[in-house]
Amino acid sequence: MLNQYFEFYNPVKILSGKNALEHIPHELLTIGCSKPLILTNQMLKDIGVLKILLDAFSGSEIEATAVFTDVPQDSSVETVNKAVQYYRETACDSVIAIGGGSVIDTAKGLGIVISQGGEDLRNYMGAETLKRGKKAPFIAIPTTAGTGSEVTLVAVIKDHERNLKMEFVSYHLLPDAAVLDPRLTVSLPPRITASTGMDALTHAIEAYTCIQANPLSSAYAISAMALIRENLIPCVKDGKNESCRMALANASLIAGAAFSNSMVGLVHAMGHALGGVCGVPHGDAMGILLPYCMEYNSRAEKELYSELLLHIKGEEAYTATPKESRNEAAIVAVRSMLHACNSLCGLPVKLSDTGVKTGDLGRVADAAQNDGALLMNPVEAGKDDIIWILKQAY
Amino acid sequence: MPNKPARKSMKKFICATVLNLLGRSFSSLSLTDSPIKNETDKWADGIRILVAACPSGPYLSLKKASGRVQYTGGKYIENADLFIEFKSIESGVRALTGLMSIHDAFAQHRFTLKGDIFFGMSVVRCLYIIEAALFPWFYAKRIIKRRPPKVSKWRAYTGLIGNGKIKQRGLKSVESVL
Amino acid sequence: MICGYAGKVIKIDLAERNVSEYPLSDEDRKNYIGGKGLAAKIIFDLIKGIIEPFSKDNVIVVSTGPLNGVGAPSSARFNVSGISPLTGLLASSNCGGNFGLNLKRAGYDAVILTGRAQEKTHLEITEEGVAFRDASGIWGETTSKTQEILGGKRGMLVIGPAGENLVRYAGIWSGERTAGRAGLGAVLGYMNVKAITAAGNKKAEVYDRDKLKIHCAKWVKKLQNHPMTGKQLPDRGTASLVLPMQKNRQLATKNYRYGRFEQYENICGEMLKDKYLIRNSGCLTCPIRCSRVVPYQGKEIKGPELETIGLLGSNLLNGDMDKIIHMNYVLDELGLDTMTTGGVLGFAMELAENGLLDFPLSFGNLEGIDKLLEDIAYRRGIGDLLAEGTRIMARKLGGSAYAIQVKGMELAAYEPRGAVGQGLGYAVANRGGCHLNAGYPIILEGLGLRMNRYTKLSKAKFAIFTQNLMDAVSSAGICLFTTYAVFPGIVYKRNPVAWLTARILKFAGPVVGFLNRHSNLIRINVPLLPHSKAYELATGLKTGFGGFIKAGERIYNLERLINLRLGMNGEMDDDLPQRLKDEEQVPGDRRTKVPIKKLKSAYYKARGWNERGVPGDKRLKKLGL
Repeated sequence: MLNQYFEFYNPVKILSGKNALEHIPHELLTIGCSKPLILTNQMLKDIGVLKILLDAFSGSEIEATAVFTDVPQDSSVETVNKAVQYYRETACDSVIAIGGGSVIDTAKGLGIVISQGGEDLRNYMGAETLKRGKKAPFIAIPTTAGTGSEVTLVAVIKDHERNLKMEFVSYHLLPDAAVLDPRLTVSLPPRITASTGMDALTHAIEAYTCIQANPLSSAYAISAMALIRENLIPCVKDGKNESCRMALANASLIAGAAFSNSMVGLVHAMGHALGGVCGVPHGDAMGILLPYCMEYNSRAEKELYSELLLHIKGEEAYTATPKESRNEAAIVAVRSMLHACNSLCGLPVKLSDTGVKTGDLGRVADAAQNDGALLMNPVEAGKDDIIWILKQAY
Repeated sequence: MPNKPARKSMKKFICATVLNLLGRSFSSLSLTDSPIKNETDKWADGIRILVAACPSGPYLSLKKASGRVQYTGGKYIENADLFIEFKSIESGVRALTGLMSIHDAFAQHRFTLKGDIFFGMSVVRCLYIIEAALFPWFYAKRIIKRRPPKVSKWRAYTGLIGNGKIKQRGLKSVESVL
Repeated sequence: MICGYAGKVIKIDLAERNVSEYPLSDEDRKNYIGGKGLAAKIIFDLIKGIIEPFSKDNVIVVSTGPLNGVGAPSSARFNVSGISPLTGLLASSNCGGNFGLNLKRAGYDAVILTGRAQEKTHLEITEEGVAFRDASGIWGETTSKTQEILGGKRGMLVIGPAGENLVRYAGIWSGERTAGRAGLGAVLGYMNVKAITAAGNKKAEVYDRDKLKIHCAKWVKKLQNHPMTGKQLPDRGTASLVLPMQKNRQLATKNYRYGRFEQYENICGEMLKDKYLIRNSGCLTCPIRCSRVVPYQGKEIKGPELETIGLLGSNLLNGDMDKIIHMNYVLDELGLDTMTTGGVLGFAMELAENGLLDFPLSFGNLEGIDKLLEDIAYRRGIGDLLAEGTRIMARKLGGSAYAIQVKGMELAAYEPRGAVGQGLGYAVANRGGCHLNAGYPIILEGLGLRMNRYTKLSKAKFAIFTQNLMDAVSSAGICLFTTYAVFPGIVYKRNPVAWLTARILKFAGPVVGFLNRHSNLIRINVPLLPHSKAYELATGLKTGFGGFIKAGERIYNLERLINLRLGMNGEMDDDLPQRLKDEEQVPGDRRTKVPIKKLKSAYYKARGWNERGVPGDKRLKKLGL
């Protein structure tokens, strides 16, 4: 692996733990900012999450009055442009995004337009074409524990006008800091906890096995797997356990850092397509597809996941399993985790449980083929292979 | 080994040659019933693609027009809809001469891609298939994960004949535009 | 209307209780003959993409052939097709009970079931039409009890408790015969159809009844004089194959770990004949009479066939014929496929050995088997897991290297590392791990003729020939055992001619390949295959040997197309489990693993398919597809 060229970049400062939010004012002031634009969505405002953040600023020199809550479930060009306008109107000097992947992607989109000094986000589509420009300091605060978008270099934003999904890949999208505070995820329902947990696990496993895997990203990946192994099921059972919550939040971040630097593969290509064509929630799709894609990849690379058994199931299981069976045992372990989640909270294990119709599978396969993640998969997959996997998972 | 200017010039020359071959093959294969045609049929008419072996060239430009992909020469074009630019001539020569697959080049951040990434994936897939067709299999299999859908090597190579002019039954002859 | 056919195909919408005529042209009958061929055509037209087998999108087609009921020998066979819950692909299951003949007498070439009945239903088919009867009184009964309650001399198709509980390998019973494989009984169970009966007095018109009668009389004589169909099978049944399989290391033993079983003498056909046989019996119209009648608990019941003996015997290290007979009976009553059950039990035992499953049984120890079989049929406890089949079990527990299945369906008792052509056949068979749909190449590899069992030479082309042949024969409504007689009796015995034939056949690939591609050049009928002449005399269609075989090829390719539409993938699905392709059956002997990659590549090429196993346009055009 080490004689192959790779790039690794993770400049995000991580503030993780109890009352981490209360350190944000200090971080902002350190980088010379005092008037952040706070991006979030209406739901988080309604359930009081925004208040927790605003309370963290009380008594500080931070002027936290510019709040933009008009972020929909899927980030869009229109939303970004509105946010840019609001940012400029309110003369903000930094961005804080508190929410899920959509909010953080909106913040990244806003950051692109501000840093490039432009007007329209559409002009900046592409991979690694952005210059640093006048980057607006950016702090990301995830409220779910799965996407890892607080440490990734990718933003996906929809252009409703042209009915197009735009992808932006740049190291300059990375936040300056990511904040993990247990208050933000402790009330996540078990189903969402399980779904986002499987998303994080998929990130970790794909990051470890995709073609840009490197020693640094792999170290992050296995660390994430171990945390998920120990904490996912306990957290689904008892969401109030703060220690488990933090462990999962960290696992998600660590897995995000892993895949940001080594990319994801077939599971994500198919998961994105299922989300786009059939509206299947991302985490659900990850959980369902992961074991089947692992099986598919294993046919060509028989020992691809052998080492991962140690991290997914633990030392005891690893040493007790004969070497030639470890690859399969890792897949079985993932499947058991998924089935355990299914028993505990109804997380779907088959595509037919998510409302996907068999007639949609062809279109899903077409969409998956166009996903860049597919190129990163260690094993080639054509349309017929993708259909085969979808059928097995149905 | 130091990268002397002469060596860099040689690399640029090699890249220019390969890009020329790629462009003509692309053009030829987009006409005939092939996996390339299946991909390019989905492209919007008028779309323009520019590939640069390094920031200062050489270049490959393509255009979709009249239902086929035309090789429009080796010069830089402004405002291409998709612009793939290798970060250095070393990266360019490795990817274009088959020392490294185009997928690995993408994974290793060897090139930037300006434009719609999803469309870019379609172009990358085509380049992958054409590389497999142009290079002999014993050479290509080092970098290709699995033999892509078969394309006619004859078709791939006929694009190289006669300055890009290919007469197809029932179709007008195509002149390469420089 | 072409002679030989009943003339009508009906489509039954179970939800609406509506019966309509399904348009099937003479052209379709000509191209697809009948039986599984017709069913494939119907399914190709009705199912356009991937479907969930336990859904209203699935269909069941019960179809007959033009040689049913016209006086041909061994002509009681009929076909049931649908999308299998075990494989998710097309499954056609052939059966020798009395239903097919009665369906034809009722005036139907085929019956199509669609949708899902709202109540437990018994479909009663007569010349007058279809009546929807309440089946709540028979729901829950065993297969024999159900048939007893239904009574009468009519043809019957019933499912047992396993089908009602959607066990993925539940079968369909007609008398004591079964359309056992691929779980179509579960599809009927999903449709809430417990039984289908048929009765009538119609007779299909025959093109030249007199000539056909003479031809069939000669055909019967030929079968009776043949060493296989006239001596071995009537005398010792299919169980007679145990001895040669043992000798050739082709007898699945201990979950296919080995090809020989120490206690083979306790489960062979000779032993069955000496200790148990009351008499032989056969399907209606059959002179071969390969079936056994044995005593059991004061009754006379159907004895076990080779597959049952192998998969519930040597495969489980069980050398007790009493136990095999008992399990055969129990599984028949419950409505479970004995073959898949044997495969599942063998796999479960090996999982338990490796500490991956907490399982009450072990190899050679079947204490408590009755409860376990019931648990499978009723999906109770561990039975619920076993009811899913080995593929799903392996996904949940591991051990996929020795989950002996192809496309999700468990293999037959022939261990393919002792016959690599059979291994190829298993891998490419349309319905999964089926020895017959494989083309039964093992008949050339030691069980009849004695070609080199390990050579790759010519195997692909022979497999294609036999697959095409068997699809044509089966579609016509004739038992596949009659194809044993395609090869002259002399080559089945031990003599210089047989020895030489076996050596020459190894190099006959190019000739067989030419025959496969250009069979339509042979417009005459050949004595080796009486089937095509019988077909001509019954229908009036001048196909000759070539046209008949070509129809078989067309059917095989059509089934392939259906499967591709259903999401089958040549690379992933046309394959063997790791044990059979990567592990040497005899450690140190490299020949004793199936070189599936090379065989498959040769097979695809010879079929005119691309490297992914997709039929090429050129070939399809020639077949009229």
